[in-house]
Amino acid sequence: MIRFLTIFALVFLAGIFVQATLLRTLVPAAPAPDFTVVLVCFLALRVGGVRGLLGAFVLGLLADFASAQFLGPCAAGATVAYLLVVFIASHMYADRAFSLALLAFMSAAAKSLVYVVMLQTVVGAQVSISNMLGTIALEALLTAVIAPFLLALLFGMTSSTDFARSPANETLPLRIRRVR
Amino acid sequence: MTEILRRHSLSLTALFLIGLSFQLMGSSVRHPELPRAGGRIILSLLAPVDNVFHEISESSSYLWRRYLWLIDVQDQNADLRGRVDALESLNSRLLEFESENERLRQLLEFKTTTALEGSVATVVGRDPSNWTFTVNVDRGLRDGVVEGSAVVVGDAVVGQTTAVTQTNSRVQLLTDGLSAISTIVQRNRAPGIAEGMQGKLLRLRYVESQYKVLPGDRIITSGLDGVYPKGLLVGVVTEVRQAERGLFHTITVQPSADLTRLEQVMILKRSE
Repeated sequence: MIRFLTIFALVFLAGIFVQATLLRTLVPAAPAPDFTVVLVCFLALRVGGVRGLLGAFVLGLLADFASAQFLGPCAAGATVAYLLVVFIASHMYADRAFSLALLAFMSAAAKSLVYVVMLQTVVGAQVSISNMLGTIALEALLTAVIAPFLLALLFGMTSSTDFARSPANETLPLRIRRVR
Repeated sequence: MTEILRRHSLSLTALFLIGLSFQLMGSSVRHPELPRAGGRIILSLLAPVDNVFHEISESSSYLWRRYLWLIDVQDQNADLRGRVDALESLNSRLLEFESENERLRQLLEFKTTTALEGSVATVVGRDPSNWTFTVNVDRGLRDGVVEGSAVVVGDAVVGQTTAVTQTNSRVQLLTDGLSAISTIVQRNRAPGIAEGMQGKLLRLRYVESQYKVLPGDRIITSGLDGVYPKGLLVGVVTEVRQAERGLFHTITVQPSADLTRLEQVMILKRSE
């Protein structure tokens, strides 16, 4: 458990650094992949259940703190993304690169949409979803490109015994196939 | 009952967390010090890495530009750009002085403009979220920077500081959806509010229909919001849709500062 959390925390900080500094320096003003979404997908596929959901919420909250603007939009987006991955993974095999990329694409798009909707409804920010669709799609695509590699790395660095799920938290149907 | 709760625990927990997110967002609107405090912590963690990486990338870029790419052309280009920026800045200030002088002559009053004081900062990173338009700079509390300080490049507005640590600061760009600057049209002194649109342009709101605004008009800060000194250049009007029945025009403004290629900025000293 401690090893899992340590690896997870290091990957999260590295992802924030790459997203905030490295990519912005190399390709300024361009959309960047969302490493938080990839980590949420990892939680949904490896941990699952309520504990994974709480982990995704905390990840989103940390991303909100990193922005220093509002608490809540990234957390809600991460929660919705987690639910989406759990739902889709319960209906399809999530053991190939293409399916992982598809999961990452859809969850990244969902997270971005939730973020924009919350900005509009709670704060009343003048953000037009139609204007942002292109950026949302591009960011989701970039996230989908890196997701298979990063997920393979995370699955390789951790094992399913690092975070054993108790029967009490098993809320997913039996036909789920998880990435080994 | 227990069985139902167990079977639907994921959905119920998710609903609770989404509701909690809305509550947190509402609280952070009323009490912005909480997300800023968290932002300072994460900024403190990332700042040393940002600074080191920026040094490395600057050295590599310099090596590439100076020795492996066009020798001298890069320097000439940078020199010419600097001179053009300085001349545009001077022109903007002279136009403002001319306009102000004319008004003062009519009123038979006299006042002086204050010189801008501040510290030069280097942009070392951008916000990890793709939805907030912010940059990180390498000046902080130890350099006299405080939250709510205006940030400019030349005489053009870049934004304001929102989270400040000992060594670094986060700057909210004027194109951020939550940015709002009190402005006036330089030509006819029409007041308005320049708001970011989460893109490359600004929207100028609350300009009454009695004022005639034209594409090409310069938008400057009014100095009324307590953050930006008066007379700083915000942008240039690109599109005006005249109000037919409403009270206000719909105006689009192109920011004067090139926010995609920020390297050095100036953080103005906040006046008490």
